[in-house]
Amino acid sequence: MAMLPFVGYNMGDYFAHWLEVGKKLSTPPKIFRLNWFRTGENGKFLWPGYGDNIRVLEWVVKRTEGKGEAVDTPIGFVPTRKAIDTKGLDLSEDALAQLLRVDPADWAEAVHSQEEFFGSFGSRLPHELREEHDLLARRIHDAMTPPDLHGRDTGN
Amino acid sequence: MTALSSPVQRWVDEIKKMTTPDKVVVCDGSEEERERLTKECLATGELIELNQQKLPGCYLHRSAPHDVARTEHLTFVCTRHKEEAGPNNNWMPPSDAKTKLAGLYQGAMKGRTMFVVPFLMGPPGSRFSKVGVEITDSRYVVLNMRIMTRIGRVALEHLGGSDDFTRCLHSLGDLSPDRRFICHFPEENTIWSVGSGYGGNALLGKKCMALRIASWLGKKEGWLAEHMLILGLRTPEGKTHYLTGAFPSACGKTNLAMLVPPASKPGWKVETLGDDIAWLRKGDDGRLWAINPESGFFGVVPGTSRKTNPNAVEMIQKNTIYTNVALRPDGTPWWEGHDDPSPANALDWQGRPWTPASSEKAAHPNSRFTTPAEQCPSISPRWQDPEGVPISAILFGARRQRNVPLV
Repeated sequence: MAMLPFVGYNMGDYFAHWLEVGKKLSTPPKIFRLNWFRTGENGKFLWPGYGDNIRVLEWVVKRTEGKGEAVDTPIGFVPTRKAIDTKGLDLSEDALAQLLRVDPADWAEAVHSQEEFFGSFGSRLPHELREEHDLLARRIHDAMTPPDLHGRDTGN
Repeated sequence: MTALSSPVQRWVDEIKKMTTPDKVVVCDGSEEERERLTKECLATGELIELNQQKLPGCYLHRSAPHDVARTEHLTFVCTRHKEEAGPNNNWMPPSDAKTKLAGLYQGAMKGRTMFVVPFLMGPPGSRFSKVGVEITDSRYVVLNMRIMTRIGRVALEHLGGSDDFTRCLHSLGDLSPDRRFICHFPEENTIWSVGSGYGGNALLGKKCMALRIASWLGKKEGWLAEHMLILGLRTPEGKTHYLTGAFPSACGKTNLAMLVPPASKPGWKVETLGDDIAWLRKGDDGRLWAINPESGFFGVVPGTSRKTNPNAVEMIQKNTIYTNVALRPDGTPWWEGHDDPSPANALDWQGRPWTPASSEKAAHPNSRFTTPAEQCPSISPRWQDPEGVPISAILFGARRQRNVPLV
């Protein structure tokens, strides 16, 4: 959280203020999550970074124009392997697959720590964030559960 | 001497009474002032002159060894009610903080000069810009503020006779971490910082005002102060999209803001508008618009090279203050990750003899450059547009070894 050390008031109220500002925009910016630092099994960075980050910005810009191919995953849209231009880059198919992979088991942990973080703001946390969080948790849970078990654990 | 409006003068008088400086200097932001302060810093040792043939206008500053980074555990948000500060901030009641810090400020500027630095955050003439006045007893702080913000007349003109300015009080105190506090009083639009000469603790326009106080003002006034870079991305078709990016420290924000595309991506270009802070608000067209409140870059030096950030290398060749880097015998700076190999001998960031065999790093890992934004080769023609730029996308980044995909 880049703003965590710099919000000059209660961060629960800060989240609410973001939603307020967002609601007033008729053409809001699209939101993207980036990570240049994913590592492979050898502990080395998979992505070359620096100037080659332009290839990721290219996909971002295409998405804002309604282009750029993506697959829907439990955490949102992720580029298809072909959607990132890797021409002129020494990057294996396997490395690209690892870079774009969404592993529900890993995300279950992330959801748990988000739960704790959000919990620290108590009733100051906007209900919209709580609802988004619950939906994310549900999608991750579903992705981890084999299809034939869906619904059983809730008694339906 | 530059004339101050009565609200500013009243506050200056109040602080003068508490800190009892030998003299008061109101900064006008002029070139003569920069030369005079630089000369004084060279005499006191606050600055060391670097090789002026190779690096014109460049100087080195060495911090106190225990004063090299922001100190979040000594940083407080002092609202009347604790819940207003939230679990994300350290909190002290405003009256306690005032009493405690007033004790430290009492007579703290005796034997020193008190500088009054009016500064503008945001482009001149922009209705979104904000004025602060920093009182400090550090020349190094003044010289940094004049790069990072627009100081002097331009700020006083923007303020006019108004009382609407952030009161930023800074004293080096005795530089002891035991007597160091960075306190924000958002309800009074005031910042009190004592005991540190380092960047974010002492250049009060940056994190203290343009983020912590500004985030509070933004909540009141309906806009956002964000820890974000701003860049323009020009496509091969000639269209420019503006993006902001929120990344925690040490995730390459400055590098991304100044990115140079590889030869295999012809036609793409990144234009830099800001590397650290964005003020965002709704435009009349229903889009989100951004300005960079700062006018300089305060970047981490180690790792800066022609490979990682050629634009940054280019821009720090002149008019730059280097803080806590190593010094080579020819009067040029060096750091880990520099394009040149390790020097056979140098002085480390504390001024001690250093060789490649030394166990410690030559430059402090958090050593910095302070350099004017206009020197950046990739600076956007719109970086000082009073209306800012419309934002098509916001990027959120972090340093994750697993689970978070590339994008």
